[in-house]
Amino acid sequence: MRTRAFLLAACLAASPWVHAATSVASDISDMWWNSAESGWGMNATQQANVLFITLYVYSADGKAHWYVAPQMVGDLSNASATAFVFGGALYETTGPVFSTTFNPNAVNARVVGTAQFTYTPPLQGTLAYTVDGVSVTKQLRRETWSVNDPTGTYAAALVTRSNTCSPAVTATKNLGTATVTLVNNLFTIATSGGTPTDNCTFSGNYAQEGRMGSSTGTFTCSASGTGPYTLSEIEAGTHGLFARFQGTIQGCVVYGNLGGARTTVPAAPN
Amino acid sequence: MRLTFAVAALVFAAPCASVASTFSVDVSDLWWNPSESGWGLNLIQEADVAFGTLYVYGQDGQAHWYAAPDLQGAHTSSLDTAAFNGPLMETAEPAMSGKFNPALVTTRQVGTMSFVLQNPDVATLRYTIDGVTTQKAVTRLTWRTNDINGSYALSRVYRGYHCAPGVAVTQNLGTASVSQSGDSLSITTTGGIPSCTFSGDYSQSGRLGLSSGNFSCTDGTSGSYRMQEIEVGQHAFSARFDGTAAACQFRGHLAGARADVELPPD
Repeated sequence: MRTRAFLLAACLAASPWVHAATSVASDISDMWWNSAESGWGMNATQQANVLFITLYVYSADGKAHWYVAPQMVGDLSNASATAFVFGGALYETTGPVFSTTFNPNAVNARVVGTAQFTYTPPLQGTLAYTVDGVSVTKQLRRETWSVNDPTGTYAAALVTRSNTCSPAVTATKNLGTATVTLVNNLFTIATSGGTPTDNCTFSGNYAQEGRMGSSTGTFTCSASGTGPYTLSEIEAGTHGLFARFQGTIQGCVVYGNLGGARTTVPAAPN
Repeated sequence: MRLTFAVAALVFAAPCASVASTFSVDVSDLWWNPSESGWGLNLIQEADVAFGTLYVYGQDGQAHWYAAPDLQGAHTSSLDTAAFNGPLMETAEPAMSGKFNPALVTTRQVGTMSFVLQNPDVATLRYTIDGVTTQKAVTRLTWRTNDINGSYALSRVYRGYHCAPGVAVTQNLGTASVSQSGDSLSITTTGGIPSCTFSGDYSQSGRLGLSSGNFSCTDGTSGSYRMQEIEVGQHAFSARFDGTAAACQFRGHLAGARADVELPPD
C-alpha cells in the first residue's frame, strides 16, 4: 500500500500548537550510540514532547539501511521523574534513488514494528525496537566528537531552591557579569557586579558528552562562603549559556537553573 | 580498511581542543525539502564540527544512509551563515539482529558533502556519491512548537547603532513572565530598570523559535523587536535580539534562567 512519506506523515500527525508541559525534560536531541558497537546509531531530534528518531543500521545483506520513528510521544508531565519513555511506530520506506529527480509520491512507507526510547537524563537511554518480529534492545549514550567551548562573558542569573533547609524558598541571584574560562579541562566562572554584592569564583573540571557539558568543583563567594557545586546539562550557544546547578550554600543543598546572555554583541550592520 | 565512521569522528577530534563556541548558528536539526518529503539530513553540531547523516534511497529503491562524520565549519561574512564541508562515507556491516561486531564494519569514502547555511532556517546541501552530484535546498523540519511559557530571571545585553553611544549595555531585567498562546507571544519584565512589555507573534522552525512585534517600557522607550534563534530548555532560554526605537537600532542577546526550579525526587 502506498502511504504518505514519513516526513509528511509526521507533520500531518502533529498538531502544531499542542504544547508540552512547560518544564520539559532536558533536550534529547543528539547522536546516540553504544561505544562498544561503533558503526550504527540513532539520531534523535526533540520538539516539545515528540521525538523524531532515525536508526542507521544494516539490513540482512549487510547494506546500510535506515528506519524511522517520526512520532515518538513522551509523557513529560513529571519533570522530576528519573526516566522519560517515548514510544511510537517504526517505519521502513522505499523511494526514488537519490540521483534522480525526487518524486515524493513514489515513496512508500511500511510499519515494521515499534520503537521505544527510555531516556535517563541527561546522558543515557535504552533503545528497544522491533523490525518484522525481531526485537533489539541497546544501551545508548550521547556521542561526543568535539568540546563546545563556553568561554566568554555573560550577564547571568542563578535561580535556586532547597529542599533540605527551611524555608524552602526560591531565590534569584543576579550574578552580574560572569566570566567563563575553559583551559585544559579546568573550568572557572568568576562573577562580579551582582546585586546584592556576592562575588563568586567557581572552579572545577569540565566534561563534554554529546551536546551537554558538565563541571564539578568548588565555589567561593564573598558573602555566601564556600562549598561544592555541580553544573550539568551545560549548553553554550552564540547567544547564551544554560545549565542545571546543584551546590551546598551555607550548609543547605540547593538546586537551580543558571542562564546567561553573552556580553559580546555582534558588530553593527552597515 | 576497516574503520567505522564513528571511530573516525572521534579520532579527528582532539578531546580538549576547544574552539570558539560563538562559532555559528547551531545547525543541529533535521533538515528536509518540503517538496520532497521522504528523504532528509540529520545534523548534530559540536563546536565547529557537524556530523551529518543522509537518509536517501539506493538504486534498488531501498532506504540507504551515508555519513559525513567530519563536516568542518568555516566562517562566512554574515552572522546568519556558515559553511560545513567534509568527506561522505558509506559503511557496511552484518545485520543488527545478530551480535554486532564493530570490527566487521567496512567504510568507503563515496564523495563529499557541503552544507551552506543561507540563514538560520535555510541551507543548500550538496553531495557527491560515486561521481553523481546532487544539490538541494533544505530547511529545518518542524513538527511541534516548543513551549517557552514560564517565568525567568532575565538578562539582556545589547548595543545600539546609528545612535550614540554605540557601546554594549548590560541589563538585568528582573523577572520576565513569558506567555505563549497559539502563534502569539508576550513577555512582561518586572523588577528591572525599566520594566518592559514585548508583544508579538511566534513561529517555530525546527529547534529554533522566532518572534516579531513591538515593545514598550516604563521609561517611555518603545519600538519594534525581533527575537530569533529562540532556544528553550528545562533550565533557561536564550535568543538573539534586534530592536528599533526612535532613531536607534539595537542588537544583542537575551537569556533567562527559569524561576521554576525542579527538585530531585525524594
